Amino acid sequence: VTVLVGFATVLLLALACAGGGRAMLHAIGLVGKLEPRLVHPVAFVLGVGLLGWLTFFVALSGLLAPTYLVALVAPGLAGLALRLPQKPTEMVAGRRDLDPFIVIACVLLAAIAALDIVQAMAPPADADTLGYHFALPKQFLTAGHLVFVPRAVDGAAPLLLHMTYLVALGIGGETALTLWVALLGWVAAWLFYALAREFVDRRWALLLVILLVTTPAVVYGSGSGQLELKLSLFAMVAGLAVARAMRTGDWRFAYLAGLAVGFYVGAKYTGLLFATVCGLTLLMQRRWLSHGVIYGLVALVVGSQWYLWNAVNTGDPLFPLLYDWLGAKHGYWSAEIAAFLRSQWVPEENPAPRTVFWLLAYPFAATLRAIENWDSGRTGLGPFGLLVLPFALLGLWRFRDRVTASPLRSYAVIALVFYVLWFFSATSQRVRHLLPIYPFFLLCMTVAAQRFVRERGLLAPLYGAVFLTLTVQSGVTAVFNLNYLRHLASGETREAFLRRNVARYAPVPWLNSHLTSHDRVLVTERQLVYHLDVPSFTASERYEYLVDLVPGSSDPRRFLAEISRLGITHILVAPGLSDYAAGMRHFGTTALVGYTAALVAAGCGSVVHSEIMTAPRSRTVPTLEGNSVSSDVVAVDTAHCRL
Amino acid sequence: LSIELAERRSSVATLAAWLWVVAMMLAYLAQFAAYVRPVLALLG
Repeated sequence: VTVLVGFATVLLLALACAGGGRAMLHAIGLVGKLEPRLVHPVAFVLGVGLLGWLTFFVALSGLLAPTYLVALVAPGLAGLALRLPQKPTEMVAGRRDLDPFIVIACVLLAAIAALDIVQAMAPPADADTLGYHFALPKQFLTAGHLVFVPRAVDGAAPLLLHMTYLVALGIGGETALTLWVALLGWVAAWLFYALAREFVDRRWALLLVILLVTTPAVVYGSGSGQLELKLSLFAMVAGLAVARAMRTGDWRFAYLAGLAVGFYVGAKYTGLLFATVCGLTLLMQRRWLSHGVIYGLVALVVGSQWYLWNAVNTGDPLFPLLYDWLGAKHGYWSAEIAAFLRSQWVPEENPAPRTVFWLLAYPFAATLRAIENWDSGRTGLGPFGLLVLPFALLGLWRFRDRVTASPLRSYAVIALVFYVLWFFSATSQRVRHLLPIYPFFLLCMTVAAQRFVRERGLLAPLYGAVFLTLTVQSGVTAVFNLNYLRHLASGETREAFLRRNVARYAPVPWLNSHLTSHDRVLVTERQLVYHLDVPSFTASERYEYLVDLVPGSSDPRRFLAEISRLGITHILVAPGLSDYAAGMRHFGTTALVGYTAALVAAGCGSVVHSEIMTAPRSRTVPTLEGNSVSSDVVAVDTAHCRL
Repeated sequence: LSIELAERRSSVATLAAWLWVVAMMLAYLAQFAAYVRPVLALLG
């Protein structure tokens, strides 16, 4: 039944997004201006953005019951009644011969889609997803309203796409949510196909789609709450709109670009970079002023809601990025933690120096080397870009006189300038953060390479590059999904699956069965949060300051006051207190375990449960050696506290 | 002669292109050498 409810919910959301987006396109007056193959996916993307945007206000108003969520979604269905441009008559009437190549490509895509559905039947297991992508919507639904989470990076962040997750979870439960995120990945593939058809035939467009959906970073993230592939939806619509605005001079495309960019800005901070890039590109044309003003105003109105939410709650719209200038309300942040986060996070997330040399070297290094803090290698962008590079560069040189007039120019400029800004911006250098512009990169490289090899009679090596890439990437896709196939086929229980796949999951079942909704457990392992059915607080030495765990802080009384203010009744510590006393340390928990040990020594708490927590090194390849650490659950009891 | 030269140039270009594709694919795959056994064990 839950599976059926999940499918029904996703169908409802999909139809509502298609209808809502179609209504938006009608309102802007662009339905007749886009080719029929583009209208549907573009409308769908606008519908997704609109759903996320509207849900913010519903959540803010405290109307997060399923009835209200259905009432929010249902009007979108009315948009389906709006007329769309008809396909050209010959396309409808003329029966084409069945192309075996296209049949094979479609079968392959169907197989990958089936694997995505299998994955969606399993409980979510990705750490970021469990830490906040799915945990925040669950938390908001439990509270019945929007809750401000004063955490850097994964709490006080733009959450427009998370709002669509919230609707799926709120109406149809977890299966609806996992199916919804998988569907969004396929909408990206659909839109990419429609974009690519402007430049290549059906065969190549399908090849490009298969290359995209089997890219390791896509395989890794598309079935989870990870945002990057979903952000490519907004990026592609924005890129299309910018290109059309420049080509046609029609202000309505600038309006569409503003909408799509606004949704992107509302979904992730890096949307601000993308907004800058699209804005700069729009300025490189005759109607730069009118288009620039329309684009800017629309993007500002659409994209600002989460920044205002942050500003209202903390005084800093980009909390805590502007702490040095704006400070932070309610003691949410301090100079010490700001300095500590900067000193730790920036070098960790940016292993390569931000120099021109590394700007050029990064794509090669990220393709050929598995660097942990880049998430390259197993979850990188695959080999295709490298394999076709010489063909694409030679194509660029050969047809250099046509480049400025090419409709691809806008996509190339957007991808290139975004990459340069991103690289020098000191945001995380993880490869998957390039996924929003990856479709543009794939398209530009492939078109340039294809034009060149066709002229020079070098088609065979290019086909070879595609074939080798698809073989490797399809293998990766299959191996990645084995875990989920086995789960489904073996009838493994939910708990057994989670114990195998979620790092350090072991204490969660005990906490769920022994604590109540009146308790609150403090954890440092954020990947446990989503599967905890009791209230929790995620403490961190670098991302939050409600509990001060910055190394060097050493005041157990203040710690007790802080956790009491938060209503903490239990603390989950790793390593366990006896191992800690014996000198064992775990990443980022030293201050917390030290404080907890002090509380227990002073009679302010006692160990009520112990577990060994295990973390697999890879969910896909479980035979790779994982790591284990002891843990204790400490119940806080201030009745006999001698602190 | 010019046809022959053009043909030879084309064969060299084709060979170079294939070499690039195969060499870069091998270079890409080399980073995953440590995964071969565990993945084979998984499939086995």
